[in-house]
Amino acid sequence: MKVLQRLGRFCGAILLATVISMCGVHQVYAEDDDSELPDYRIQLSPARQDIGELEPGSTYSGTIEVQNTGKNSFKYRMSVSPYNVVDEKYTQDFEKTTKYNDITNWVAFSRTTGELEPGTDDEIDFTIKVPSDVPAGGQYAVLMAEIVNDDDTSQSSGISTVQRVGTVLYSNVEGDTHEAGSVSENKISGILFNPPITATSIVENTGNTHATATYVLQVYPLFGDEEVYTNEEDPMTLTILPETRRFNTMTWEGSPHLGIFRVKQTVTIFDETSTAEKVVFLCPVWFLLIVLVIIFCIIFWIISRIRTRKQS
Amino acid sequence: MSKMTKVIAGLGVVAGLGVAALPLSTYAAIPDGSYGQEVKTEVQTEIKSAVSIASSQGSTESPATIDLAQLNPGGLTTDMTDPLKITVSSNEANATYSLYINTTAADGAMVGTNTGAKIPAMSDTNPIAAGNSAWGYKYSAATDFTGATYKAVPTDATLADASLENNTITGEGATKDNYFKFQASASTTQPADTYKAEVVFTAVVQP
Repeated sequence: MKVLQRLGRFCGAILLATVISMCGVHQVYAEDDDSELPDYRIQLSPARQDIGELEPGSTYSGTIEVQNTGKNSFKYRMSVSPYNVVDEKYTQDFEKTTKYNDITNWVAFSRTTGELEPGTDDEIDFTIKVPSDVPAGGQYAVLMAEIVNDDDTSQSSGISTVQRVGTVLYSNVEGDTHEAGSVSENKISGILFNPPITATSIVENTGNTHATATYVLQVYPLFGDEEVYTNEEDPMTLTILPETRRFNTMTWEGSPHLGIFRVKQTVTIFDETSTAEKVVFLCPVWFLLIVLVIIFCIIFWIISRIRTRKQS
Repeated sequence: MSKMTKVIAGLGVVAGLGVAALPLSTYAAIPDGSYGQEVKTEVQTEIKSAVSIASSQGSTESPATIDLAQLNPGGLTTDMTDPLKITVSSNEANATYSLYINTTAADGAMVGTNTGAKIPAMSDTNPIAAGNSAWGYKYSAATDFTGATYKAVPTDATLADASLENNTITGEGATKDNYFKFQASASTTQPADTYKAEVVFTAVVQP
């Protein structure tokens, strides 16, 4: 009987220890998870939305979701801004109005303000009432959600900050649209002192609706056709807005520090495809210096040998 | 005592074997089309793309307003020990996001809440310095602010730093932390007041 009692106590102790340790682990994880959350975080989903064709005189209905993924509750406000790009690097602009963002006047939200507790979200419906007399072509806007800062009670000088996040809205008004574009630059550098191997390009959209450009980078050894890198199965795609030029750099992140490769970049927009191919010599500066020193030494040795022979 | 131990050990072994054999016997008991029926359930969900922006400042619970502390006439606010951290995140693959900054005041100035007097945005000719009324921000990708210098907060949403690459995050589940410090200075004749400015941080996906 004593043996059974001891055995029972032993099992009980193990069970108790297990339960305590599990509780402890859960508590620690819970604290860690909570402490990893930022004080305030507003999230908007989706990050981009291509709503496709809009018929003049029609009404489009859509939704976006505003989420509180931070630690504290906040009030939020919805707004809509024009969407443009200002240079070849596609630096964005949310102020300037052009013929491609009349849509900002057509958007209406089901609600423009709200309050979210941590871990909750609001689904915001929006409608786009397209006037019947609008010209055909692309229309772009950003649907913004921002945390409202109502903390004006502070009596000391300070900076009131607002966090704002946006969903880019792409659309195209039906009618007399024309699609035209070209690849105006497709370059690969022949000599690189440092990795990675890169190829650049500029794609121009001369039409009045947005288009998708596709970028493929293929790297082969100097001799042979077996690719050492390619993104052919998952090519990079970028949206090119109407009447803009977009600069892009394709990169082979896993490039070695030394080697000679054949690099090929293929860029496509609409039906136009541009292909550039070049032999790329990837060589660090220190290696180049060593090679030069060796060549210098060989020349010096040859000259000294010739002199020695002449003297003898 | 040894008998009891043997009995317990024997029972333990039998129980263990029984538990181990349980799955085998369960499979054996379900011949095709007789006693058992196989039901396949497809579980599906959709995760939409999202972009988020977060802010925090040291242990402060309310980073919405950054207190620049005491500013004396002819003085300068102290360097912020806890910079404002703005984090941009996204779950999209192969997408790029950028962080923009602007102030809502048309002239970019801090405004006195009682007198309407202004502390203008800093410039090359109007730097942040004791005895000079100016304010601005500096940006860093890390908390050390090495090489970062103060500049005026733009009135239109502008990349937080001149280098686009430094403020662009790429890749699935990408997160980028950005750090900001603000500072203000006042001339000896700057009217006594509480000066405020609103700064907007905007995170938007690139097309």
